[in-house]
Amino acid sequence: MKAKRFKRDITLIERLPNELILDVCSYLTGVDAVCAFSRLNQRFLSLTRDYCNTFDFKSISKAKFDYVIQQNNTYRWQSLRLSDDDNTPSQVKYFCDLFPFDKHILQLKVLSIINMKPNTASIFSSQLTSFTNLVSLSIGFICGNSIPFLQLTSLKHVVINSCMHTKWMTVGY
Amino acid sequence: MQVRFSQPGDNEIIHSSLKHLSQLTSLAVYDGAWENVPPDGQIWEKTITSSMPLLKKFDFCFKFWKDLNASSDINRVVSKFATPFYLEEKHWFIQCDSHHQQLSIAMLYSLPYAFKHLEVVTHSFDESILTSKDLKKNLYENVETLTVDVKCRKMNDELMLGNIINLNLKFSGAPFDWIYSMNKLCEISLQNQIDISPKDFIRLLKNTPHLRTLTASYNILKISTNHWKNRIACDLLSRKIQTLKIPSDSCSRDYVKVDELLHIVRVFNERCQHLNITVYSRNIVAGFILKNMPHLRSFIVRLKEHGNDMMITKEWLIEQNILYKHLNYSIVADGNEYSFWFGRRR
Repeated sequence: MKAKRFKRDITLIERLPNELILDVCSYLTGVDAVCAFSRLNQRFLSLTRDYCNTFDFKSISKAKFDYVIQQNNTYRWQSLRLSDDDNTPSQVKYFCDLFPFDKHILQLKVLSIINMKPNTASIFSSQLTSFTNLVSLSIGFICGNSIPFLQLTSLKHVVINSCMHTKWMTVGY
Repeated sequence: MQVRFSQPGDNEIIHSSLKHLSQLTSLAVYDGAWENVPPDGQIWEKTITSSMPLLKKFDFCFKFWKDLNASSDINRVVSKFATPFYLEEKHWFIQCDSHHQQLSIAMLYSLPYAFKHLEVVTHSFDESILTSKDLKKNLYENVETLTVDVKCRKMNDELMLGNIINLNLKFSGAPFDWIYSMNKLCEISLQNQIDISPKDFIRLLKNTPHLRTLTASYNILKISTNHWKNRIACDLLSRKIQTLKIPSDSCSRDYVKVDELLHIVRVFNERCQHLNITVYSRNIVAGFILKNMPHLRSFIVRLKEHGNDMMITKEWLIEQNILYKHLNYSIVADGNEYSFWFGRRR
């Protein structure tokens, strides 16, 4: 009798409606949500593909990074953080080689690329003007001479880590 | 808005640029160019009252060179930030840290300290000058990285109770006892002039349960473990350190020799996931490091011996060892520096 009662009390996570699953995912980082749920079944896979759109790749393991980008849905992403730090050297270039910015992530609202190497930075700065949906931008390290005149109308939050060429600062934002 | 300067003279642009920002309510300025002349509280008062009337929050940190000029006299510099405008109208209080040496770097900053990185330029915080006697606590809550440039005998207690997770010791000589009270440290960097005995090193390692990252030259590592013979120190390093950076030591040598590398690999191969080092040739990378450090997730290496026919490429690595064909990794070359990022090993 005891065993039967115990069985009735279990709710399978799959029985939960989509809204609750997404609510659970909202407490996880985009990366963790994708890695945890997308491999389980088709339903969870399409949920994560459609709704997980915030990705912070700072200090991530390469295995997780490769798995997330394998989903191939960068066109849905809203928020992205990349970093070339000691834990993830050359991450930015690796990402750019796989997903050239001008074809894949121009819809981004929040973009943060920190610790960029100079060659990557110069490629990136020329494409900055194409990110017309940006609300928040954080970039570094970028040469002041290569920052173009930005007319990003939705931009509310900017962090620019630049060098001694400060001429771009005087242009009206 | 937050602005940071690192070259002397860069700050000249700010007073003219700020004229256009009349709606600004919050401004943070960090001027790290130590060659600067002392900051002038009067000029700031003028700029703020004329151009930024809505400014409520003004966080700043100015590094400057204190020399024999009268204009560098600390009391005079501080008094310009202690006018009624600062004290009564805006309630902006400052602290000025300076060294007893006449020609030295000094620092003037608003309280509470607003930035994540604080440099210690004073020999004793007891000598610091503040423009307010009774400030509330938690003045250094924001500080995550502490760089100690000089021998500071008397450290600030508030600072020690804070959230410092990253410590850079840049002074010469033995460290003082206050380093053992920072229990939240995750990263420690020991610059070359520091003189730390094995006993002190062990004490430091034992007092930092969260320590994962260590930056130190080969010499420092060797001396602080008594030439790798002190088992307790080596054991602590083995268990704790996940990220190891060995910068090039420009004085005596600029790469880690093979016999020295043996010790590094022996002590650190168990847990080290991230390594940053300079070695002589690519053969050492392929034949020794990659083979003996199975837990590496990222690896940045600079080669002393380098040239067009001595580069590391995926094809060359496979020639050295066929097993590298199945290794999941990305490699990016930047001159003689190679960055490896590994996926799952084995």
